[in-house]
Amino acid sequence: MDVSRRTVLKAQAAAAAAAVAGIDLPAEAQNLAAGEDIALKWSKAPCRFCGTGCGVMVGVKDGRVVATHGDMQAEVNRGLNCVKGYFLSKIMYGADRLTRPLMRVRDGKFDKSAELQPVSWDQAFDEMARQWKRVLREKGPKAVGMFGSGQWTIFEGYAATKLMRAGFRSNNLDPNARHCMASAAVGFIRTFGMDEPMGCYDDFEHADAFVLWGSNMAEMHPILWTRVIDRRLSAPHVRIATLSTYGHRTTELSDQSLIFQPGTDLAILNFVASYIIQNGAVNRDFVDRHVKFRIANTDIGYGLRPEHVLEQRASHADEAAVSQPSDFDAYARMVSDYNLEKTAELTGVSKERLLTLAKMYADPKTKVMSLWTMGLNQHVRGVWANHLIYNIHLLTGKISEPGNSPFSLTGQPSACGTAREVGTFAHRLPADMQVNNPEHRKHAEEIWKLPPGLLNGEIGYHAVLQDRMLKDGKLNAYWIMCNNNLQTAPNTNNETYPGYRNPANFIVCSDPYPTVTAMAADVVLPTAMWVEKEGAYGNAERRTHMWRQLVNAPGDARSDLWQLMEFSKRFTTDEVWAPDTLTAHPEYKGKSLFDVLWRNGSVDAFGLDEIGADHENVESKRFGFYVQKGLFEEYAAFGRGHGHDLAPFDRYHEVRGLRWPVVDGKETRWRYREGHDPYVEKGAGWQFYGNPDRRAVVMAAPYEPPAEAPDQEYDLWLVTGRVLEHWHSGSMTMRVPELYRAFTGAVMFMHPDDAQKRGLRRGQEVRIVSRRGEIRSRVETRGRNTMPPGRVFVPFFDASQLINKATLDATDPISKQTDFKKCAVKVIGVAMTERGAE
Amino acid sequence: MAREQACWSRRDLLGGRPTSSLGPGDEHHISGLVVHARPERLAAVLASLGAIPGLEVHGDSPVGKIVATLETLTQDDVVRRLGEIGELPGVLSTALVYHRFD
Amino acid sequence: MRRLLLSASAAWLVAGALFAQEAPRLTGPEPFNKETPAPPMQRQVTDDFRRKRNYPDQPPLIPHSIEGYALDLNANKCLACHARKFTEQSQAPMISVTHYQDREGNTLGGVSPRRYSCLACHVPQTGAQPLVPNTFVDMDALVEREPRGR
Repeated sequence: MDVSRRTVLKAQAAAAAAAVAGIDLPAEAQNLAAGEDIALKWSKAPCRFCGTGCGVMVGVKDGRVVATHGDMQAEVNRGLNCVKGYFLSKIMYGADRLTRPLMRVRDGKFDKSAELQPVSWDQAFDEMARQWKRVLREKGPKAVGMFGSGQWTIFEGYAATKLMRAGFRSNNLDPNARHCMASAAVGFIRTFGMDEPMGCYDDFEHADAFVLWGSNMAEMHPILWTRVIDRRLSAPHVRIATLSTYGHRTTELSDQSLIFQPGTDLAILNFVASYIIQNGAVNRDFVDRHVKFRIANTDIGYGLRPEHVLEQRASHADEAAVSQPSDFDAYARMVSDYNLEKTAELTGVSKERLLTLAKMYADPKTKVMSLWTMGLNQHVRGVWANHLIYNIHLLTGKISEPGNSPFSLTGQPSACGTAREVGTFAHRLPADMQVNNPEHRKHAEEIWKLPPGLLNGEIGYHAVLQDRMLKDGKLNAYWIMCNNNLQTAPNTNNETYPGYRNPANFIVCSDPYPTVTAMAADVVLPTAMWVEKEGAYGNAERRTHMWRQLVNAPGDARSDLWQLMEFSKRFTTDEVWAPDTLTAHPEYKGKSLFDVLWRNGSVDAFGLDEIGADHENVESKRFGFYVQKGLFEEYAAFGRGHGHDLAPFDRYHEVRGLRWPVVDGKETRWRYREGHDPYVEKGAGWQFYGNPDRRAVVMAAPYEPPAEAPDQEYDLWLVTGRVLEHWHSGSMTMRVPELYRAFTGAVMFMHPDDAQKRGLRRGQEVRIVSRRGEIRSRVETRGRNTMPPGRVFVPFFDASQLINKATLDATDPISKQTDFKKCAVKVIGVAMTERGAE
Repeated sequence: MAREQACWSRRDLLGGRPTSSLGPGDEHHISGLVVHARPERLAAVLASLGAIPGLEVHGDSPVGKIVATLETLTQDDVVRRLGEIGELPGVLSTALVYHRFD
Repeated sequence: MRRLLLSASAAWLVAGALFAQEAPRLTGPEPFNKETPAPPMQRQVTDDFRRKRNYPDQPPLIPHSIEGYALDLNANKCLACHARKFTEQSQAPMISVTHYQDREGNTLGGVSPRRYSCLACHVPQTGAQPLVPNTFVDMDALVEREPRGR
């Protein structure tokens, strides 16, 4: 009998007896605890899940999280959470939480063919250091790599980028945000010279029209969707248009849904621009003063391996990112190709719907908020797609003001705050700087107090390339943190798994749980989660928000930050820096990396007394100074005064986040706009100060088809994605019984006619087969997704249905982001005889 | 889940009526009792009750009525304890008022 | 008597292969390239039985079938039983009073539009067994005090 039931029954027993005896018992004996015992300690934190960045209140008792609810004081969500948020209190408590490091050991020594055994932290780090030093000695910094995360805290991302670039001098650091937001980030930089949205969530309450491009907000950004619906149902003139390759819960709640041929979103976008030009809806004044035109190289390939025929055939595969200056007339001519007839035919969308959509944008009085995430970013022309949306908003001047907002929605909780702002990409430094820019490197070397010339100027391997290099044996020491790449990378059987098991490679995986990736690694490090450490995230609307450590991690689990800093103790500059550097700057000789990176006068500038008496902080206590504050303030030095201003560290612990740039204590809601953005000069109106000429770029780019379309044999489009109840690979949500039972295992959504044609019935087991691999799933012809004929949808949260065995590792050649939404499969029923033979 | 009965008579328990299909090792019984002691012997009875394993006193009155709960592992233990309590010096009667088990 | 809190023991962790067999939905197939059969789709639990919430703020789970229930701009089938005005007729539990409040916390004269997407928070359940136990501790267990004698 569990304790709580026992308590209840005893109370009832006592009450019954007291009633018979005619005795009044003191209140304690009845079914009501009182006073101090039921007090919970409530603290603020951002939600652990999506890029919306809801605020939650976390209730702790006796060292455990016992409840959470939406924070009424958080601007983002004002008390609401989605179902995943409501089960935050259970995500840390899966019984198979990793509590001790594991390593493949035989006879007391590391052996890649052995089973994973529990070892101590020292044993794990000793072997890791040995391997890292061996690889660096034999092959240099190009052979070590790290795959990090848009779910890392800001401090963790910053520590990782320092360790990799300043420690190991390697730029082979890329985050899983490469799979999620790279197209958007590159689109921002190419258009505005700076990353991240210019608007904010306040736009929801001001817009007259919402256009969702390939975004299923009802399931993927549910609380932002409540703000859309709130606006739609409160103001009768408001309209929602959703563009998608299939019907889902968001299209159900839209006024217009435009279901289009996969990949043809580019054509629709160009059509809208063309309509605007031809119907006199161009805001000429705005364009003349704030816009310039360029034309992109076309036929740029698909980011596949260079020997692939599609790459060989592409005329600009090696110059995918190049564009030429152009002008309005040339641009207008180019988009005029996308007339109503041709667009309707190519896309499968009716002329009527295309016109309604175009009119929303063209009407100068309609404030339009465009919203997009993975449909547009996980796209072989994702950068172009981002450009084409900005083109529309720039032609009409509908930008940087309340309600007029091209708003790139972010998937992960800190793809913005950590991956993009800190710059944990293979080509980036903090504050939008680039590794291949000597001025930027110099600036970083100054802030990091490094010898000049230390930083590596060669762009490192991005996500998909890391997998290829692992497979090819060119990347040999690899650390995966805070992601489950073996499950979530494309074409995983052929391009990811071989690299992890390649005998030449040493793979480390840090995770709270035994995921698919952890089970294939050589060393597994037990990792602290969420409120088991002090942290900070940055959400989609540039809101940086922080939380305290509220509970302890179980067993020997430690945070990613602790691991990175602790690992650095194992190295000296003599072992990892070029001898020339040390000869020229002997004061750095023989120093521990720990001292160079963290005990440098900046990161260790704040004492433990600044933490506050009743806050736990495992990392700071370990290292003897307030590490999170030191890392943050050093990092903030990159951006302050350059349009990336962050408030002082302590302020973030006081408030529910602030939207940067925070200047003189004031956050910025609309960037690039006079009166809202302190960086815009008086009288300018708008100023896109990220670019030297302060103009935003309208980029001419055409429709080009996806990498692999259905054909005779593989006759269906495969779309992959998520469902509301599960986050990414399910490592957290599948361990919460209520979330698991809410969506129990992946299924393949399919049109009933497609099923019937193949002799399949709902619930039948099928094989989903592509040229690269196959999985088994079950047919679902009903439910939340309505697939058009010729397309199937499979979510990727289920490790027993690794749909990424079937996907294609084609990327946008400019952003290197994988297209998870378009490849070709066939579906075959699993015969009864086969099953019987199992 | 347990069968519920707000009030079992001693006859039910002594008659050995089958109470559940669970084995003895799986059970946890919770009973509510009213023990009536002579008012002048109240303190002594309370002290004696404190020595009985699984018994918790929740309240009493000057007329000698005592409210208690009893936790036992088996049916037999309920009966046995009730008997023991009844034999205590100063106890006039015991009544089983509530019984549930899992 | 405090409940013994489960801590993940080393027994779970030895031999990743053994563990993987236990829950391929969590740890993948063993070996990785193996094709795993897909278990039959689970049925939903529709017994109308109200299950205890893990803590007071948790949105209640949906204990009945919602197959075919409309949730679009024209109709919200959930509210047709659970909104205050229909509860006497339907005998369905009323939606929480919080659902009548706007962003500022003011109580409105009707259901707040921000609460329109019921399924964002309320979910049905299948009868599937959890893949691993979850050691979340209900706060009731922690507020119990030591038993007192006299």
